[in-house]
Amino acid sequence: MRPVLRIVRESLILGFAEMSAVYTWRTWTFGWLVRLLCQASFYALLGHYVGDDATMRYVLVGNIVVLACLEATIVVISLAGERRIGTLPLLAITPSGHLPVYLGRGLQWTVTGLTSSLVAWCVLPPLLGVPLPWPRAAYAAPVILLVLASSYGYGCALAGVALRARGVEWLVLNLAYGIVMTFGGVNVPVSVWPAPLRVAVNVLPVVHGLQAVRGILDGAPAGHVLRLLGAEALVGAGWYAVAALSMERLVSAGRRDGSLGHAG
Amino acid sequence: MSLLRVVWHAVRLQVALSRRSPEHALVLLIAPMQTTTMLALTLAAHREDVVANAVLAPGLIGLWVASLDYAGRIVTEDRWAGRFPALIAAPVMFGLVVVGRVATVVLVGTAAFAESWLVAAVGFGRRLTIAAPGTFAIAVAATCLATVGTATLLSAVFVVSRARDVLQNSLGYPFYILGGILVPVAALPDWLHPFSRLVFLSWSADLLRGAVHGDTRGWLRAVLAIVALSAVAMAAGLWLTQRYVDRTRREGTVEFA
Repeated sequence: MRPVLRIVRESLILGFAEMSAVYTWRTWTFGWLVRLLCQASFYALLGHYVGDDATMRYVLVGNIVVLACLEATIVVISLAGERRIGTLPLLAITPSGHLPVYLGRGLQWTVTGLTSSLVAWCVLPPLLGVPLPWPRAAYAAPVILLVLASSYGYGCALAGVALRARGVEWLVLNLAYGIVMTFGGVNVPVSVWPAPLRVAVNVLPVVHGLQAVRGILDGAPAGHVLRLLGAEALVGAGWYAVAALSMERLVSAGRRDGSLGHAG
Repeated sequence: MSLLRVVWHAVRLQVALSRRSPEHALVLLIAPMQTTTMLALTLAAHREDVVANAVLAPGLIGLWVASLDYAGRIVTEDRWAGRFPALIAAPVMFGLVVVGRVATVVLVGTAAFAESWLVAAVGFGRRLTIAAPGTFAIAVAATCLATVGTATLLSAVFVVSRARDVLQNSLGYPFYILGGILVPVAALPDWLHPFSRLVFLSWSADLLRGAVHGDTRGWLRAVLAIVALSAVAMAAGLWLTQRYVDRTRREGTVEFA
């Protein structure tokens, strides 16, 4: 356990050192965070324009929770960056093995994702005039953490695509996040989609977690909420398994044919 | 070399560069998903009268993304790739080369309009018809012109600014709200209106929606506002670019990446 915790610590130090090359705490707060708040507000305003306060709250809650997914999937860019600068082999030869190190490369985004989502959760509803039912709304915080964890696994799995094809990381990131945003019950209930799509979205992160958040806000029975949380955790575990398999194959093939160090 | 020939060569250069950059197709990936999101929300609320907003907004977002994410990075990427010294050594105005390349990227961005129309027609069975096609065509042309002007300014601002990534990551959604591209400016708080009118998107969005619905009142005023904002941005962009080129020459930093 201790080596894993050390990798987590080092990954966070490295990740935040990278971030500090771009952001100061001021530019992160007044640039990036404000942008995310505007993103959630943009869709919430549409909800209000086409519907009523209930529609606005539905859309706002969805768009706040999905911010955690947005930031967690940026791990695609961090991992593709290691490919671009040719440092994948250096990470692969660590004594702990490549997997924990690769999976840890975007951990800083989970911290910022949790911060962004929770700030939006506290600030936007009163600001836009659709207050949440406190203190019940506080129970959403651990659910957002779970959504963040499953989304990070999803991002790591899709990073496998970005590590294999050159220059597609931004496409992969936007597609990954866009699919969740579009079909994952963020702006409209999953039930509006055709039956095959309704089934397919069950493998996406956020879908069940977001339903659990909505359940908490509406005072749904604890058993119902727990079942949804279990589904979200299962989906997340599935994506981590895909990520582990994908990275294992990448590294073993790369060791065999010497392609792991190819910058892309 | 004539001005048009310079611009044409710049267009060819940008086409050659974009063909090797898959991420330049990002606009075309985002537009269908955004159209689906916005239309699904609009139709779930039974607001057929807002369908035009939901179909036009992804097109405007496409233009803004093309301007912000790709066109805006042109000079910065020239520096990183080592093309900058050769480009400013050529006996043509560097700003014109930037304009030609920016226009190429913006032209690709306009495909987002066609994509969102297709998604609405095929995915949702809503064929958006345009009641005033002449005004619509003028609105699209003016909007593209304004996007080229804005992108020229952004490319100059990004290359002189140390906070390029911060600006690039932050200037999307705040401008979508201010620009009234989905929810009209009239529905935003009053205190935002003066700021909105400084963003060409707000005039473009109103004009495009009006043309779709056949309400062309005040179209000339809107077109003049878009063209004026475009001219100001273009002039500022060309001036700043030239200033930057002169500074790198003076300080001997032309070859710095």
